[in-house]
Amino acid sequence: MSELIVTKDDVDALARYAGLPLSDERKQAILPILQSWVPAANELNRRMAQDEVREQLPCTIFAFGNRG
Amino acid sequence: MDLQELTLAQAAAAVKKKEVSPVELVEACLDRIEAVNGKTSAYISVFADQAVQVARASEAMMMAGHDLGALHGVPLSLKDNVSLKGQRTTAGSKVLADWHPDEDATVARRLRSAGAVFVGKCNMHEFAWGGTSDNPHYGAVRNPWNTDKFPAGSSGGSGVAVAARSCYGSIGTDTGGSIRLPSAVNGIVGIRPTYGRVSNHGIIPLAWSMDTAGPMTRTVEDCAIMFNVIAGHDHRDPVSSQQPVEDYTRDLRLDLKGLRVGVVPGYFFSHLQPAVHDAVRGALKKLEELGAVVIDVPIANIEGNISAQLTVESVEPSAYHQKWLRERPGDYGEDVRALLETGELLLATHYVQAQRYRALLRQEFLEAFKRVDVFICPTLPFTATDVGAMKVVIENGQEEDMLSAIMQFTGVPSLTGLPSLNVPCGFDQQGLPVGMQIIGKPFDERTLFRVGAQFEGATEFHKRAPGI
Repeated sequence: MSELIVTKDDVDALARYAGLPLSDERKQAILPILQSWVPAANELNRRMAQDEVREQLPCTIFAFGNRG
Repeated sequence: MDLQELTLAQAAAAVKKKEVSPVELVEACLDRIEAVNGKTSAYISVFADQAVQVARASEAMMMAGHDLGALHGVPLSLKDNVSLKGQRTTAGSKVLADWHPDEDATVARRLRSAGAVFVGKCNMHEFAWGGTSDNPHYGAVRNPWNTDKFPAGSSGGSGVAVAARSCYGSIGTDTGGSIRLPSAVNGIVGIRPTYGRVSNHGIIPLAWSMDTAGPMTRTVEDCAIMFNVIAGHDHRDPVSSQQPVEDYTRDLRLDLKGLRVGVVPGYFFSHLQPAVHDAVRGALKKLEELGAVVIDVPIANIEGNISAQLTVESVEPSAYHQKWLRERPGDYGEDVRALLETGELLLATHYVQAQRYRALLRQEFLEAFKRVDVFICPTLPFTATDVGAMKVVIENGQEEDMLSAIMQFTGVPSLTGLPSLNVPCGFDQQGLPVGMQIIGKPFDERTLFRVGAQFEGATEFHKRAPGI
């Protein structure tokens, strides 16, 4: 699978969806972080979508009577 | 008596025997802060007059036969994201530059109740979101072993304050490694407790599902003494555990014969600077000499933990900071602002899959703990880098991003909620400290202190002092 490369247009769209006003300078500042993190996060997404972990629940921070 | 060279345990014992006054201890710490804080920027606030006043009262109470507890008259510091009633608590930020909480954090209240005297609040990475303590508002914290080097973070000020002998212990907070990393890089001891073992009430959060608080000290015994004071259920923290507490000093002198030490093959000793590799391998050999048995224990899904860590540790703070980030974006330092903006743009599925991965990794470690008592690995793969560096070279001359690189080993306990203890285990060729991380079963901090204390007793690394 060819890996996504995050672009400045992607940052622009995501920031609009998030309601986060970002100047061009701010978009440029976070672009390299997203370019590094998103492919790794997508790789983890693919792993966690496999059949063998289909039943895996997410961890939560509810602690009812924790005697753990 | 050289007061600055006393351990916390020795200082507390000397006060109880009336061999030394709390006033003398506090004045020794304040003198030391005066001498070194200009070079290290370890403290944001120093309570010189108030600490002396409290120490005088503490002395009077001891002389009158009123012993407040294990820390009576002992000077300590707090990371500046831990609330102290009436005292400025900034979290290393401009956003909270003038915030004065109206109550103590639970950890501060418990320490105070046990007789501790607070001498100041320590500098840190802004809002604890980073591993360098290069703070744009209160100055870059500098390592006492070499002030051109960083102290790691985010509890960098606490690590430096303890290593530089300006207090007998400090409280740090640890989300992705922020107690263990500065403990390793400054050559001291620090514990990240089991998630929920120590109350987070009154501590400014970073990432709720991973946040913890714990002691940073010069010796393992000191760490266990402080841990005894702060551990335990707190109804004001909704995730505080009801698991009963233990005496964490009880097993410090118990030998290691037959103790099973796990190592994850292919992960725990790969991608390291040679000095770190050699020091931690040497530590394992020493533990074997002490009677421990080292066992390879594979963890099938250990790869991927850094991505999960970055996702959770960025998304949760971005939720907490959402209002301030829109109203006062210019009040954040550049690196933290960029991380908070980034955290808003990751997808919900990235976050949930990271949380599912955490549960999977935790199950694999709990299963592995049927075969071993502890795991041991380096705390971080490199020794202190230059102040201000955003990249680090670990092997093959290749530069890597600091934030990802620094979490290589500390992310595992953070994601799984397991306790872990940093203990000094060597020095590199420049004389910079190396730390090893001992990871334990949930609520088994006592075994971590036992292993750390036995190793410490058989080595000299903790006895070296920085030359500052």
